[in-house]
Amino acid sequence: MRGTLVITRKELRQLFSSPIAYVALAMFFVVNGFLFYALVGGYTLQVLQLQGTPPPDFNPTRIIFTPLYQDMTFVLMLLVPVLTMRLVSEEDRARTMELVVTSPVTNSAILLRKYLDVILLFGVLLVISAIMPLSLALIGRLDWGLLGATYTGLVLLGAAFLAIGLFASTLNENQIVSAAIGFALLLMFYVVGFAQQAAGTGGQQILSALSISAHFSNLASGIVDTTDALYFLSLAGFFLFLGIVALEARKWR
Amino acid sequence: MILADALSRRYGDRLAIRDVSFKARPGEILGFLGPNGAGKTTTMRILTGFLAPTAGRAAVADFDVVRQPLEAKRRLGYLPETLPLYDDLTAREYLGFVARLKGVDGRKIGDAIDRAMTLCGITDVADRLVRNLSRGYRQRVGLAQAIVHDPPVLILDEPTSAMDPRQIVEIRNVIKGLRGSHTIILSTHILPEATAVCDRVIVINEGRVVAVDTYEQLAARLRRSEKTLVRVARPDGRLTGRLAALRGAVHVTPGEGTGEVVVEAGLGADLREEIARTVVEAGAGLLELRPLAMSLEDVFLRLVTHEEAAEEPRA
Ligand SMILES: Nc1ncnc2c1ncn2[C@@H]1O[C@H](COP(=O)(O)OP(=O)(O)OP(=O)(O)O)[C@@H](O)[C@H]1O
Ligand SMILES: [Mg+2]
Repeated sequence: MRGTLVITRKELRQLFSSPIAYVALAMFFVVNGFLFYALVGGYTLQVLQLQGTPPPDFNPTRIIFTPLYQDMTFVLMLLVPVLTMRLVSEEDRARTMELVVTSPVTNSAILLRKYLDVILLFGVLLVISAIMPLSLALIGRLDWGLLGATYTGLVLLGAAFLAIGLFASTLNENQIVSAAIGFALLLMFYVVGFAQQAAGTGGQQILSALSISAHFSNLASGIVDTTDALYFLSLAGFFLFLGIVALEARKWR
Repeated sequence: MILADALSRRYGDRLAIRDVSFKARPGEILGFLGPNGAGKTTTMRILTGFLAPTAGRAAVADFDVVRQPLEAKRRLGYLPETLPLYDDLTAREYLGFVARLKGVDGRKIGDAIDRAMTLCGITDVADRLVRNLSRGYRQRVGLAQAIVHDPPVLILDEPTSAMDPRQIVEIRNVIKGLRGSHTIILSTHILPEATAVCDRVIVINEGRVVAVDTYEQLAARLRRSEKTLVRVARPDGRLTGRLAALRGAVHVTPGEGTGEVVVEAGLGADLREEIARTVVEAGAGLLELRPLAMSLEDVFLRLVTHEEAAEEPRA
């Protein structure tokens, strides 16, 4: 466990030695903060219009936080590739990968190690983002079930996004290119949902089954379904596997 | 301890090394000597499991590097040609990271780091960021990284490049100090380096092993003779006898091809004219006559044969 923490410290140190990481994190908090502010403003307006007699299905959590976290997935599509781009690319560029690969660890251990590190960092981000609902909890009652489902969704979505970003990082020793590949992959999984209308009924089902947005909307509206969880977990598993294959293939180049 | 058995490696269409075979005995320092592009790094990368061979087999401490990679890697310290340093860590943090990566037991890591730092003379810079160290010190940190887990086998790719003469001497002494308890392969394209540290030398050129021997014997073999290859249409025993009787001829041996004879003469003697006359007079049908340039000699000619900085010590 101590070893784990030390390695994580090394990764963190590397991450934060790049200005890009600061910019990305600042962007994450500023954009989310702004969205939060705007949504709370919209909510206040609605309350004023209702004049103190809310309908029975009136749910402040749904009005403020469901759209907030929907929008946050867009922000994560930009942020995650920046968090993952250095993981392998930077080690390739600095030639430290030759040390890592010739050590008594398997390629899967190398990649999983990096994956866990970045998941941990992502977890810290989520915890910090929880300040937003917690600050409202001080002045009103929140729907904790809905929030729990949403955060479960964010963890699952993050796990899949990070695996995709990590895979992209194994492909190129230029971190900017890796970030771009990661973003392109994420975007692809996001927009397949938009093509639903164009496709026939059969195609529609397949496309929506592949789409990140469709699965996340379920979770963000409070429905925790094993299908959605399985979707994100298999996406993560598949891209981790591809990453390991990519590392293995290097020996034969 | 280290075995290379008919190793070949292809990059795309190019064969970088072909049929490279050698053995390093336990406790010896084996020099890997060859000019730029000879295939030293490629061979070492195969031995460390970084690259897979296209053909052949490699083993470290009797473990096949392809089939039992973890067992082989556990017994291996490797200094790559490009230093694998993390600039954002201090030397001590870096060595701690490597020690963990190499599987050193948690409680022994502190001692392992201290030992490696003392051996490589970097205790003074232990808490400086690797980024801020001079090139020579970075090289030392690289070497410390290779020995931090005290592996029985060391593979060092140009361990003294980018060092000043005094540092070179120091690092060579560190390496010599590891002889006996460690089996070491080190590559270099500097002839005196191989002479100074290695028990035996493998000379490699254009991807092939040209010779494996102690340095003294290689040198002796080089200087001993001048060889001329003769190819005739109708070889017979009498021709060999007549050639051997020539003034200055030391040795006459059959060549590799049919009708080939190699005439060996003392250093500096040129027997081509006499050989031609003898063959024609014998009626053997002269087809070819050329000095045999030993590839070993070629290689040595392309090596850096002296250390400029080291030879002009400033008073
Ligand atoms: N990744 C690669 N892709 C293609 N060709 C390569 C690659 N690595 C090495 N080569 C080629 O293989 C040959 C052997 O290279 P290698 O690096 O093993 O030589 P070397 O003996 O270490 O040389 P040097 O003394 O310059 O370090 C060279 O011709 C080189 O151009
Ligand atoms: Mg080399």
